[in-house]
Amino acid sequence: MARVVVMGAGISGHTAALHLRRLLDKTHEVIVVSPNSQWNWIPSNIWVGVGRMKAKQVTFPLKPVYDKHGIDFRQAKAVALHPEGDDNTRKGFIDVVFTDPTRAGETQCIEYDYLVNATGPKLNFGATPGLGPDGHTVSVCTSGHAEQAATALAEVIRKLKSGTPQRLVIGVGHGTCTCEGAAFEYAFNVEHELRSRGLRELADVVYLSNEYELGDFGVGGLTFKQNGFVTSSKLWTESLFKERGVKSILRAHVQRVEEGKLFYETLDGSEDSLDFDFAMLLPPFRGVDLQAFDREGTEITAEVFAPNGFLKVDADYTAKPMEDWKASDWPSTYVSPKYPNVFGVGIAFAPPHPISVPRKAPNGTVISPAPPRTGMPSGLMGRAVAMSITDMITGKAGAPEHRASMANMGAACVASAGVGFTKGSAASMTMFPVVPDYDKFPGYGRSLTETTGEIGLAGHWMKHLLHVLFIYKAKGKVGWSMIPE
Amino acid sequence: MTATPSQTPADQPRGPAAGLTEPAAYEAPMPTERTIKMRNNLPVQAYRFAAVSLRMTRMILRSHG
Repeated sequence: MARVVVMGAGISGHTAALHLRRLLDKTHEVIVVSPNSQWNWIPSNIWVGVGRMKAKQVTFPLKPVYDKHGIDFRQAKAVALHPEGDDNTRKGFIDVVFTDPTRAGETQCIEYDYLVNATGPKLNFGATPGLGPDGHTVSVCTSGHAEQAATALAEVIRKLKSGTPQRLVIGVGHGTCTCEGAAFEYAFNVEHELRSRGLRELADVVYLSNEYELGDFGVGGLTFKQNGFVTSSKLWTESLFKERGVKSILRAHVQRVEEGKLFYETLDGSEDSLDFDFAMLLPPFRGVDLQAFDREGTEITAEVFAPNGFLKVDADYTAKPMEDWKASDWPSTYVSPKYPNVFGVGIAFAPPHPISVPRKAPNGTVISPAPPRTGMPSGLMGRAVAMSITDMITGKAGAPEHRASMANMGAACVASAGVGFTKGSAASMTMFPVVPDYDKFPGYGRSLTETTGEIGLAGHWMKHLLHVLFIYKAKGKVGWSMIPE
Repeated sequence: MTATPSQTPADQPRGPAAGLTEPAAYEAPMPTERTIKMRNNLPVQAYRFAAVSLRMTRMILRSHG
């Protein structure tokens, strides 16, 4: 009998757990440890943030799903990793602190044969003083944050209705942020809400980002064929900004936020401030606070985790200039190089380097997007790791054999730009691969037939369909495994 | 320089914030009225929905190996 422990129940961890339970017979244990009692379809938080959905429409309780599938769920936060065991056991184990209200604060050691780290990111609002719901800006990173954003937006709408001009700043709150696509979505959903209420003229909507150009989205931008031309996501995105009258401040790092005012610097070394009435700024991510210890109890966090707190896996972490970056630098099995029974998936694994061109301001401030790890790649990683672990437990393989490199998989991104069955809109993008491979696709790094983009109502229908399908799948209902990641 | 949204130009002179791009300054072309209409035309979008679904399915299958 083997025990697999999955830390985290987001898209990658939940996918891994469901597949492990499906693939392994019941003599083996699957345990999920997550500090959250709810699963959240994060892409739809955008709609919660504009008041078009309630938090309960994008979340559901995990325990009933895990009970149904025979997965042991422990609502707790992992705080330490002991991959070599200790004096009492030779097995690896994790230390957890329960967040379950009925056991709050209680600690437990959980041994494992295989460990999947899918803890997701720590929302590092602290990197920018004054950023976040405890500061002076709102966020849509969690359903709770998104509800707060909707309340703040409702207040802005009330003031606009009374004739008071308002400035809304939407974007990212630090030079190293990722998820620019989510900020873009929220900006255009807010713009759509204001326009549909006849309030757009009084509202100044500003998109603030660390991207070098519009349409970078943390993946260095996209190139695709359209109307007989090879065009760029820059042109395509700029056109939407122009059409909808959205201003932008690019190449920016937010230094600090005060009540109604943010201070920022740009890549050319300029510094400025901007007053706002409403600001939704996403935080930078880092790995969750998880320490690692060897058998003697000596801390080995720096050996197991990268400096940004994400788990080192089978990537090439050699520091090298951008010209030498290769698709093969990116991990494919997500196994720790130090511990062959420890895996890191989703946002929890440490990328070898960015995808966008790295840039610094004259004073050394890094102002360029970190690589995004969106839902589809995260799900694929979770599935591949579940299959590898299953093969190792059942003796079919001695090492992880299933691969899911971001340099060999595509991603579908449907960025909502407004809701409504007939009035809605979204930018539907596909890219293949996520990480450009200039050896395989000379010139552009990605397939020009598989990398596409278009704007229209069809994209809104697609995003709504994905919302329904993925919540159905995550609930583990009949045929869930037939729905691709 | 600080730009204040809630104050009128008479209260405080406003200048562009560093790096701010006004919509008119984007180099990209504006979509035509017809293009914008087509983006919400139900028959056209029903067809595009089918096309986008097929394209995404192909890409998803390729990614699943």
